[in-house]
Formats: sequence, C-alpha cells, structure tokens
Amino acid sequence: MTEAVEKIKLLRSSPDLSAATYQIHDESHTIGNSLRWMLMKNPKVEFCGYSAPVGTAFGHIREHVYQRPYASLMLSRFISLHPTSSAPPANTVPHPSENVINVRIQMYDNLSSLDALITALSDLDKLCETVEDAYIKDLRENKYEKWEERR
Amino acid sequence: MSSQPLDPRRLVGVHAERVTDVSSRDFPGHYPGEDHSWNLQRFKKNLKVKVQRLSNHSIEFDIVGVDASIANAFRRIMIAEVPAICIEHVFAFNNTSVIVDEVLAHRFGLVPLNVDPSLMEMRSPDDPPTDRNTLVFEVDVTCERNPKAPKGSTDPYELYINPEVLSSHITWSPAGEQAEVFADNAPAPTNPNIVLAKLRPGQQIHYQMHAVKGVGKDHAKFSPVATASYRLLPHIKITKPIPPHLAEKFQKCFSPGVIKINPRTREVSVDGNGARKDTVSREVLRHPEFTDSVELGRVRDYFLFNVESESAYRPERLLPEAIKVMREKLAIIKQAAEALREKSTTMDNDVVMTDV
Amino acid sequence: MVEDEDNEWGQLNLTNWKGLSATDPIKSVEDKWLLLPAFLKVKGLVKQHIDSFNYFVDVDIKNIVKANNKVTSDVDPRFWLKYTDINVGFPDRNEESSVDKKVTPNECRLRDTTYSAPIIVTIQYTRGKNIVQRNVNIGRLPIMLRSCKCVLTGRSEEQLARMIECPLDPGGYFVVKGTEKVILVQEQLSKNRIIVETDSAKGVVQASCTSSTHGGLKSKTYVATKKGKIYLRHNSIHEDIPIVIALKALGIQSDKEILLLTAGNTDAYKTAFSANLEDAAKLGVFTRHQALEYIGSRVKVNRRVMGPRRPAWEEALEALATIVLAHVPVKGLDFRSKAIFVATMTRRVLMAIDDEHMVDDRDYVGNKRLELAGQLLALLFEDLFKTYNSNLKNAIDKVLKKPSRTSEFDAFNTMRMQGDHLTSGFVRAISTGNWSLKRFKMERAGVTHVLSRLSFISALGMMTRISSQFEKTRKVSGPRALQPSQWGVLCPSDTPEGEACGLVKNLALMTHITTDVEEEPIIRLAFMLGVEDISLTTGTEIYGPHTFVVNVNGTIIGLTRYPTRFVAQFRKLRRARRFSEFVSIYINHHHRAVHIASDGGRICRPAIIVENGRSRVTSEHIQQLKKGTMTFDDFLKKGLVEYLDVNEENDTYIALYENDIVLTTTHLEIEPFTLLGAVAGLIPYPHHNQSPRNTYQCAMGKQAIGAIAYNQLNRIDTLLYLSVYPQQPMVKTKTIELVGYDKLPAGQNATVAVMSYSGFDRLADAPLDENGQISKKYDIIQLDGLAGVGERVDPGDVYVNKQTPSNAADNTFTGQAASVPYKNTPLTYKSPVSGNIDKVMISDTENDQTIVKVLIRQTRRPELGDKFSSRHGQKGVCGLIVNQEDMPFNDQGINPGN
Repeated sequence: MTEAVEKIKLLRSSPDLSAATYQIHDESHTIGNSLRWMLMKNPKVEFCGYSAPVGTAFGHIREHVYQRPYASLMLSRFISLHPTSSAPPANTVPHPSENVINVRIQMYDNLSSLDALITALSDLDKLCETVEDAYIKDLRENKYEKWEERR
Repeated sequence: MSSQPLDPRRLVGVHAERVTDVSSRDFPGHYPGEDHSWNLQRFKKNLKVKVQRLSNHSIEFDIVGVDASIANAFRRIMIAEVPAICIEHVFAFNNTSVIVDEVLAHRFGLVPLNVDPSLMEMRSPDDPPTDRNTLVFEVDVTCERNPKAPKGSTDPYELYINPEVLSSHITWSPAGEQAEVFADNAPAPTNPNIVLAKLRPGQQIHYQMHAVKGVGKDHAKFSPVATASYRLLPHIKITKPIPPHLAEKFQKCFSPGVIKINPRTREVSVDGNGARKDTVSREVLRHPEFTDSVELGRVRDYFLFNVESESAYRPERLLPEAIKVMREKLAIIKQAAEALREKSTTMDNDVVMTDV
Repeated sequence: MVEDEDNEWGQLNLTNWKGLSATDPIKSVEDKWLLLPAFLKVKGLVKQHIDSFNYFVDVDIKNIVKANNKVTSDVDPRFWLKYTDINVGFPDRNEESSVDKKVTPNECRLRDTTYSAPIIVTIQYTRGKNIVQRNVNIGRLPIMLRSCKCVLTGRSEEQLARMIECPLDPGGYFVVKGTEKVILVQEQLSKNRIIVETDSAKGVVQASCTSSTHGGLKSKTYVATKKGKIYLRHNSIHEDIPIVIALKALGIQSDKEILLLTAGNTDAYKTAFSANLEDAAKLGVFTRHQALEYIGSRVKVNRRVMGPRRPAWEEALEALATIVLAHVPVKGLDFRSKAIFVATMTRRVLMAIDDEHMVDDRDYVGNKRLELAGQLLALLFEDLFKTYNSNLKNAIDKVLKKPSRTSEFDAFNTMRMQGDHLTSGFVRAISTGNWSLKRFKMERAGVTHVLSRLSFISALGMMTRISSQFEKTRKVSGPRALQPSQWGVLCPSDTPEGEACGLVKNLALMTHITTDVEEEPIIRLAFMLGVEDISLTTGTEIYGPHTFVVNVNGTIIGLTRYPTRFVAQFRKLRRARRFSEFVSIYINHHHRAVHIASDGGRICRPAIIVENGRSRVTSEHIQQLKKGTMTFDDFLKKGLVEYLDVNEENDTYIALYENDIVLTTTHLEIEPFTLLGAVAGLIPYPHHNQSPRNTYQCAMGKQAIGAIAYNQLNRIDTLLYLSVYPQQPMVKTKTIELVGYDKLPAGQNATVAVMSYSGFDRLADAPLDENGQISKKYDIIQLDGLAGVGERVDPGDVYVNKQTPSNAADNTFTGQAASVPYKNTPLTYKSPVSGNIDKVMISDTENDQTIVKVLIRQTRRPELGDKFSSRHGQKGVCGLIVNQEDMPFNDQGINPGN
C-alpha cells in the first residue's frame, strides 16, 4: 500500500456524533473488546459493540523468502490482494481481507461518542498503568516460588 | 480464598450439563441503584497482582479484579504483538542436503534468538537493511567422512564430521555499530542444540541470513512465548456434609490435593488453596450420591496466568512488555481520535462521511 | 459391605483375566495373530501377482511352447524346427554397446525404458542333413518387479538402497517405457463348471458351461429348456439339438440308460424328461449314427480349402470331440465321460425345474475365478508365439522356395531376422492395456493401469484391487451386493462409490490366489482312495441311493460310497503335504457330489485346524514362531494350519474366537481383523464406525499426502505429492505395522477442538492478471541450456532451452546436414505459482534419443479450500485459518492445531 491509511475512520454517524461507527485500522479483539468494556463502563453510553473479521485473509499469507545471493536484497514480500474497489458496507463484520475492526457507539443525551471514545482510551491507559505498577511492586517483593527449569 | 465468603456475583457456575453466568455484568444500569461506572480508585483497591512461581523459562502469576477483556488483551498481546527477532531472509549460496531450500529456510526462521528486540528497529518491506534493523548470520557446514572413525561403528557422530546442522552452527557477523551495541550479549540462538538438517559426506549448507524484528501476528516465529494462557480460579463449595464412608470417593472426584479429609472426624473440606489445583472436571457431578452436596464454579475475575518464554525476554519481563505495547496502541488510537475530533470541530459540525 | 462386594467382583474379574476362567481348562493361544505377519512373508497382498507371474515364467510358458513346439515347411517336407526348451533370463540393458549389462528398475523409470529380460529358446532343426541344437533370443518379456526374475528379489535393505529402490515397495507391477503399469486382478465366472440359472420371466432353465483348455479354445455349451423340452445349444451348431439326440450321438444309445443317467430313479425327473425321449423318437433318431447324421447336418463347417468333403456324421464326431465341451477329455473317441458330463448338465436342469432353489448363484465367490497377470501374459504370449511361428514358417518357406541358394539354409539366421514381434507385442499390450487376441476371441481394453503413486497406500491399494469383467451398466444389484461368501477373502469396506460400487473389490489381508496344480496325480490319488472309475459305471450306480459322484475340476471322474471317509482321508493326505496345499475338497450334499479343485484363480485363506475341540496351534508353536524357529510353511507342514478356498469353507465350521470352539468346530480364525483389506485395516476402531464411513475412508485414505517410498526424492514422476513433516499415527492398528504405513506415513496427528461457531460465507477472490501475454525469460538458464538446480522458476521462465529441426516431419535426404534449419522450441514454465528446480536429469532412451527431465518443486502450505480429513471418512474443506491468538485454549494452554 502506497498511501498511509487512516488509523480511525468514521464510517457512519449522526450529525452530532452521538451515534457513530468507527473503523480502527490494524487492530483486533485485543483493542476491540477492552475498548468495548471500558466504553460500557461509561453511564452515558447507551450502546457499544465492535466487530472483527473472522479468520486470516489471503493477504496475510506470506512466503518464507529465500533468494539467490546475486538477486536484490529487498525481498520481504507480501501477497497483497486487497480488493479496494468498493467501500465496504458499514455496520457489518469486516471481510477477512481487511485488517480493521468496527466499533459502534451510541450515546445518551446527544453527547459526542468521540469524546466518550477518547475518555475510554485514556481510562484504559490508566488501567494498564495500574496493573503494571501492581505487577512490578509484587515482583519486587520477591515473595514467589523460584525454580529451575531444564530444557 | 475459600475461608472468606465470596461475592456470588463473581462466580461462573459449572453444572453437569451447562455453564451459567459467563459474562460480566458490572456495567452501569445493570443493577438498579448501584454505581458500576469506571472508577480508578475503586479499581486500584480491588486489583491484586501476585507472582506465584518463576523459573528461568516460565512464570505463573495471578491478576485479580480485572475484566476478561483486559486479561485476554494481555494474553493476546504476549502471543501476537510483543516483538521478537527472527531470521527472515535466507540467501542460499549452496545447499546439497536432502532438505530443500524453502523448508530449510523455514526451519532457520523458527530458531529463537537471544537478541533483545528493544535494541533493534522494525524494518518495513521497503526499508533497506541497515545495522539498526538487520542482523546478519551465517551458516557454512560441510559434512565429511571421519578418517579416524572406529571400525564397525554405526554412530553418525563417529563416522562423519558434522553429520548434523545445529542451531549452534549459526554464527553472527557484526556490521556497523552492532559490535558495540551487542558487546555484552553476542546474538546467537537461545538453544544451541536444535537440529536443523542432517548431512552426509559431501553435502554442504552455506547460507547467509538476515534477522529482523517482527511480531507474532505476522508470523508465529516472532511470538516471544511458547504458551501464554490463563485460567479462572476454580471454586468448590461443599453445601452438605459428605458421609464419612464416601469421603475417599469424594476426594477422588477432584485433582490430588484439592480435598482434604480430617483423619479424626472424617470431615471433608477444601484444602486451603487447594481449589487452585482442581481441573473442574465435573466428575463429582456424575455420582448420584453427591447430588446437591457440592457446587462447582470459577471466579470470573480471578486469572491464573501461565506464560512460558521462548525468546530473549526473561519470563517476568513479558507482562510489562505486553502492557507497554498495549499502551502504545492506545496512545496511537487516542492521537488519531483526537485528530478526528479536531477535524470534525473545525469543519463546523459539517462532518464528511464516507458512507451513510 | 459394599467394599467386600467390590472385592468379590474384583476377584472374579482376576480369574477371568485374558479369557481364562476356572471353568475353562483350555489354555488359550496368545498372540496367534503373529501367524499373519508370518503369512505375509510368504503369501498375500501382492504376492499373488508375483506368484502368478512366477508360475507363468517357470511353468506355463514351457507348456505353451510344448503345445506349439514344431515349425515345418510346406515347401520342403524334410525341414523341421523344434523348440525343446524355453527360458526367461534376468533383466539386462538392451543396448549392444553397454559394458555393464546390469539394470535396475529405477534406471528404467528414469530413462523411460522397459524393465525386461530376454526370452531364450532352445531349438533343434535340420540344417542340410544334420540336426543342430542352438539357443536363440526370440524377444524380450517385461519383468514383474520382485518376481523370481527380478533383480530386487531377495535383496537386503542395504542392497536395495544401493539400487535406489524402496524396501517397502510391494512390487507386482511392470516398468514399461518408464511408467509403472499394473495388471489388475480380473474377476470371472469359473471355467469348466456347470452353472444352472433360471429365467422366471421366460420360464427357461439352463445349465451352461464355459470350457477352457490349454490350446486356448474357449466355448460355451448350454443345456436349456425350450417349450418344456431340453436341448443342447452350442455356437458351432446352427440349431438347438434335442438332448436325447445329443446323448445318443455321444454314444448312449439306450433310452433306458439315458433316462438313468439324467433322471435317475427320481419319479419327478423321469416325468419331466420323458417328453424328450418321445421327441427323439418322433424325429426318427434311434441309433448313434442317426444322431450323428442329425447333428452333422447342422454343424457350422469351418472348411479348409484343402481336403475332400467329409460325411456329415464325421463332422459331427469332430465337433463333439473337439469343440463341444472341449475341456472334457476324449481319448481315442471314447465319449463316455463327455456323455456323462452332458447327462449331468441335463440332470441339473431337471433338478432346477423340479425345485427352483437348485439353481446356482453367479455371485457366490466360490463360483468365481480371479485372473492374474500371469494368466493374461500367458494368453498374450501364446498368441504372439503362434504368430511368431507362422511368420517364421512363411519366412522359411520363402527361402526354401528359391530353387538355388548360395549357401546352406540355416533357419537360425531366419529366426534372427524375425524382428521384435514378441517384444513390441508385450510392450504394446502392457502400455496401452489393450489385450486384443483375435485367436482367442479376446478383445479387452483397460487391462493395465498406471500405478497410482499418490501415496504409499494408494499404490498398495491398487495392487489388491479386483475389477469385475462384466455388467458395469446393467442395473442389477446382485453383483454389487455384499456376498456372505466374501467373508475373509474380499474386503467388505473397500469399494468405490458410484458407478463401480461393488464391482471393484479388494482382497482381504490374508488371501492367496491359487495357480494351476496338475490334476492327473490328484485323480490317481482319488482312485487310490477307493473312488470307482466313472467309465466303469452305469446310471444305476451313479444315482444310486448311497453313491456320491467325485468331480475333479468340474469333470466327473468316479463314484464313492463313503464320501465323508474319502474326504477325511484326502484332507489328511493334504495336511501331510503329500500334494499341494492349495487343492481343495468339499462335499455338496444337494448334488450328492464330492468336488476336488486344483485349478488356478481360486481365492483361499489359511485357518487354524481344530481337532476334538482344541486348536492344533498351541502357545508353544507361537513361542517357536516368535523365536524364529518356525515359519508359516512349518505350520502348514505340521498340519496345524491349512488353506481353505471359498467352497471348502462351506464344508467347515470355523470359530471366530477360541472360546467359541464347540465339539463340531473344525477350524479357528487366525485373526478376525484379517477380513478387512490393507486399506480398510488402517482405520482405527472400524467396528465403532457406521459402515459407509469405513467405505468413505477407504477411498479417502489413498489421497492423504505423506511419504510415498524411501526413494521418493530420487524419482521423477509427472506429479508427486510429498509432505514435509509426515507423522506416523499415534493410534495404530496391527495392519498399519504389517503394511509398513508407520514407516511411510501420510498425515499428521492433530489436536481437535469441537466448538460451535458461525462461519463467514465467502467467495474466493481470484487475482486477475492485466495481460495474458507473458514474455519468455531466460534468466535461470545455464551454459548447457538447462535451468540450474535450486533456481526459482516464475511463470514464463524457460527451463529447457531446446531447438528442434524445423523439418522434423520431413524425411527427404538433402545431403547437407549442416544446413538443416533449427527453430527454437524452449520449454516455459506455465503454472501461475512459482516453483524451484529440484532436479535435472540428462540421459538417453533405448533408441539413443536424448532425454532431459527437469523436476520442478512447489512448496505449499495449507490454505483455504484444502481438504482435510480424519481416518473415519470425515472430510471437510478448510474454510478458516485462525491466528494463534484467536485460537481457543484450555486450562493447560493447549490449542487446537498441531
């Protein structure tokens, strides 16, 4: 792909952004499900759901490249088969050849779903920080069983 | 755990034919009159992270008080998105072995290397190889007959020199600033004894290989873990006293060390932290004599992680690395989202929609 | 209390361990299944092909030559040429210039040559006034791999490795022009036996018999009812002959004797037959001469130009002696046995009229014979040899016709000039599969098949395959149905689906197909055991109340009054190995007959002999077998085990397991799983499957990708599928180990998770090329014009840069070799997926043509649309490839996948 892809694309929304579908590029259940959970924790969110493609696309199949030494050194090759001719319909599960997830947010009181999304993202970040701190704190306490594993 | 009464809302019920209360319901509006909105302080209070066991290759730790989506995110990132260094390009000078180039190249790619990924940059397909994004390895092994082989021997290692190509035959050729960067830990396979090919006299393998940084979702060889999985803490509640003559039978329905029998009173109880060891096999539910005497379950927010490292990372570093990746992802999305908000406000509520 | 009860049960279970209990004093024979590997060492699987070929090469070919051993001249009556012996040598390289004559099958496969050996005949002939003896090479015979003439036979694994041959390869096929060809086993109705059938719609009852003898004449004789009367029908006679006239012509003049020989003393038969006697009288036929005249005027005369016209009765006599029921011997115009044969046919018709259950079952395996490579090659050889001889005779005549010769006539030179009639005949027949032998009225196509090397199992499965000769299109279910007599000899699971379902069968694991055994000694032995010669008896005795007729290979030889004793004594002698173990004997109580069979093509299988309720094979014998001090042959010699053919099986009472043995039991099954074939034997726990699943698996197991043979990397086939990491199955059957499937496995052991899941319906999106034209690229060609080994070939790449003379079809001589114009005819790679050059071979064929073979390899990974299956006929197409992180996992962190 030559042109840079947008990380987030607004697929479909009401004019005031109180209900919108966002397409996040190069993400999967990892972000989709945790973001959905965090958004649901927001009392102002009426509905939140996400969808991710099922399975691996052709485009993900890659070759193990090996080459004669005299050939070019630029060799990593992806077979890219993105049929980008027509835009995908919104609110559906993305096709496996598309490396995206769709997140749908609907708000109460005509609030902006984008604001809620941004808040959720920073809340998630804080959550991660908290877990990391707790983990490191416990690790430092050195109160665990140590053992030698032989391979 | 079993001593304190557990909030029944935290339990997943495991019954003979079905599993109940699988999803979490701690969302605002689910329980009238209760506040379930996001609260960092409350989260901090409830969160418990505890490392249980640590070895040179694996770690077991508990994370209590997070949602499955979060625990799963960490697991998924450890498998698919924590970077590692692996051989990616193989340049064949000679290969007269019975293993063909494509297969042998694949085998070389799967060899775990001891290179700390933080010392290298990602290389995109169009980038030229540089000393910051590519490590060069070489393997040149020729098998020959051993002139001093003892008579009548059938052991290939006595009969021939180099009957096998091992991961230890992979040698690193430093380039540019690499000699300094990797001074204290020269890049090499983590395990020197992986058999990559078998050779017989006259056969030779001479490859040059380029290792790059990558992630597991691109190819499983870049996954830094052998397994990264979690399970939920089993919960066993004995609701009715077990008749003494059935005590042993009851005990055998669980994994060893789960149920203890008081030698004097023959009273049956869950052995301290024993529930942890159970597999929740539901064997006990098959016996009519134990009907209604036990409730099985799992604690929905109690995650027992088991992570095995198969890379340059020490096992205890994997979770922090995963969280780091997660936070980087969040930051990128947040930046993009803010840019989107910027765009939509400057456009004065006149949002351009791709598809309505 | 409860525990006590448990213990008691436990105790009981202990004493009952491994089938032993306090009430059971007989020690069971453990590991009797070890007889199976011992059997497979000497017989079974593909050994029947090899045995059949060996029989042809060692015995049959000599018989054929003996029957056609003289070549004389019409010109010079003093000239004669006689074949005294024939021998087939060992395969060698058929090139004059080669120093090392030794050849291996693999060399033939690679060089597209034929793996064949010279046929050497010893001739005696007159040269002038002398009689000379010489050895002449008359042609080359393709040699079956692993047969007694093959260089691979009896070689160790190391020696085979040196010859680039796989020790697990079963052999049994030919290498002709570089391709591996199998002559499939053909199933036919048995020859020289009477088969009675009824057509209830037309109300016709007919007994038929297909005669087949050495010398090749094959004809079918019918005795059938027509409007309530019985007639004899034969192709060489224009009209149906009333049966009484036929019998009179065969020398039974008295009506009383005719009635006794056909209807016997049974009133119902007498009534049914009487009309026929009247019929003959009405036609005015009373004496033998009248009968012969009657028939003679209706015989189709195949008149040669020479010789005077013979009277009608002589024609009839010749027809009856040589054409009608040709297999029944007529010695010195003694028609007695032939007359009794016809009478028996008539009697069988009468029996079937009286009781419709007395018809024969065409689908009964005992009424079938299997034709193997040896028999087919024998027919082919006979045809070719006869043509060769007539060509030779013509050539000799041509020379002898010349009034003056420069040198003395030497037939040896003429023979050497005969060309390669035999060689090309064999090669043509085997490589095209067309057996068109006009001499024997045989016109068969598709006799040979290319050995399928899709997988090791597909190759093995092909060697055990049996194809049916008849009625592929007819809509009758009989031949397709599973026959109870198939038990133990034909696999009940392994048959294709669809058109050929039930017609193509497979041999079970423990079967052997017999070859011909000389019948004269057997007949002599029967007489020694008290059988009364048939030619000394009349109808009164034959159908007397206590007599049983004794048949050898379908022909009546005599009578016995003590059939049970006779059969028991006969069997005792067989168990003592006084004659071939493959001669079978059984009593047919319906026909009151004892049948002895020694002909080839019968399917038989071994069983343990049981006497007085005890297995003759004991644990001690098995111990010796394990130690290697006893072989399967020793078991036969000691009378512990014997071969039973399907007919003899009907005369036995075989226990499936040892604890099923009762006092009347005669035999014990060696191992129940041997009822399955080699392919069905690979299914683990087949008895837990629904029956058609096993059949599906039999068809599918052959498609599994894995290892093909130890020499797989040294082969250059048109298409070869290999797995990079094949795994031997974790759940093995005994058959898997016996067949060698664990050494050449196909497939992988997979973890399977069963989950409910909803899929994504998708259409395959195919990449489109912008332009159809691809320019030729010569990047990978080296100095010799061939692509380098290891090079990557992309679509459009030239891998053999070849030039051909532009006037290749033009054979006119220009005299200027140098000026012949050449045009470029490069070979370009056409597959849309790039590959790699794996191997390049340069050699020449038998006729010095340079041959270049380039092996191109494509390495593939599983992708959407690939077929996967378990070993239980459960196949599916891959519809989703899931990332590692998306995989379900269990408590232990175990994933599906492998």
